[in-house]
Amino acid sequence: MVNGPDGGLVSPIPRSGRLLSPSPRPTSLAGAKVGLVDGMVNPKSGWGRGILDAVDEELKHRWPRVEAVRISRAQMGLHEPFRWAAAMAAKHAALVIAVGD
Amino acid sequence: MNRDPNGRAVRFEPIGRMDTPERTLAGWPPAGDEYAAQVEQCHTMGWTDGLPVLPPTPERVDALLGPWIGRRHEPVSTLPPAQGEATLETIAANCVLAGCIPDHLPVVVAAVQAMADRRFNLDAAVTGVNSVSPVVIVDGPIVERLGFNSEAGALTAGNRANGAVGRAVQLCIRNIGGAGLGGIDAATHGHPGKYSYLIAGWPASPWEPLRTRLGFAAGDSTVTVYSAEAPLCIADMGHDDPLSILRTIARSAAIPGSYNAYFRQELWLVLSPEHAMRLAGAGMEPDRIAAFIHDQATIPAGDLRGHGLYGFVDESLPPTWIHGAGDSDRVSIVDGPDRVRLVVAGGLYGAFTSVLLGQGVSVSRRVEPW
Repeated sequence: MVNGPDGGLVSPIPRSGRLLSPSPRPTSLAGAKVGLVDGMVNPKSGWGRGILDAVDEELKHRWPRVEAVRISRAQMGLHEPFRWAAAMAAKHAALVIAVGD
Repeated sequence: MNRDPNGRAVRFEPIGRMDTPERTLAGWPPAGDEYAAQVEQCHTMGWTDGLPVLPPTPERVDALLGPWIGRRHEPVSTLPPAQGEATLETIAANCVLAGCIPDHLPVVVAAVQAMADRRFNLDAAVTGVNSVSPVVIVDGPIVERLGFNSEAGALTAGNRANGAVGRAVQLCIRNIGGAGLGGIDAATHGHPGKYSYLIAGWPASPWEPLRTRLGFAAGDSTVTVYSAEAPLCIADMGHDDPLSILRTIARSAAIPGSYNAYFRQELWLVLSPEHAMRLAGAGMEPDRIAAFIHDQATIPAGDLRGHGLYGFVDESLPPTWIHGAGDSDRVSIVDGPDRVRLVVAGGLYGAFTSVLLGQGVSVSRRVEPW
């Protein structure tokens, strides 16, 4: 007989991930500068641009005077991601990054 | 309905078909067959690779943990992409599923630690559309002690240690790293190595063993992980000139559609004993072989432009190594001789080398004894 959610077996799946602490979330993006980063491996596909276009529209719909700044992969600092992330955090209230390939 | 950048309607099925239609399960498992019922439960829970497993009962997991049973909740690593916390218990549960025995656990633990190393970039290996899979390369005294097969059929099915340890590592990626859940693995074709992909180094290699070339002690046992495509088997038979063998390997590896041709990172060669002995007999050491492959595994820049991943080339992702190159200038598929790695495995007879194209760099760990 199989009992319980794991059938009486030892789960091979962790009970929880060791998640990184999220950065503090701004309560409002009104008047804020938001970075929209196209980090797609293949930017020519246009998937990242399309998603960020939708985010851009949504931001402007929700928040007055929000400034959305487009950032390309070339500006991401491929070999120094943590320094790049720190620099972006200093310049923007929030970052939205499209990643994938 | 989602639409692609050209406005065409598309239906996203990122994970492919992972379930079994209920109608095909009619009459299965047989009434009273508790083992088959537990196997079905494991499939239902999404814990398997699609093949039958040994259900991880508490008794089996305890036995698998062996002398580490008191440390069962000890964190080992955090595995991307889901950042799942691998404890000795969760690794042991995956080992049971895969068909391991207790002696296999330290090998799987070392592989999990190696894959968790940020240099390895497991995220890229298991979340992209490319068809690579982590391969585990085992070297050292455990090859013989645990009965890994490094001889005839070294890359194929049939050996308990190769199959079970390789499978356990892949199940850890799925179940702990989360690569099998929710469509995180986006591989367009995938890779049969995602069932099991393990190579054991031939103990009688004519060269300094892999582990000491990597900086470990001769008495250590090691695992190395690398994100590899399927093996590309290269035959070169009947030539006395060792450079002829290496030219065949280099020319066969230099294909413009590979990730190596664009990212120029590591390349692994699995030399059969016959190739290794012919090269070693001619005085060719691994460093010289690597330098030769780096020098000869090249593609004219003119052939690269507009082919393969070079379609990425635009103002946002410049491959600096091709800028300024004339069409006839040759670009190596590795950016230095140290990117070419060698291991010897296979049957005594047969003049073959399997080329493992792939992406990123390998990471090695010592297998900690019980």
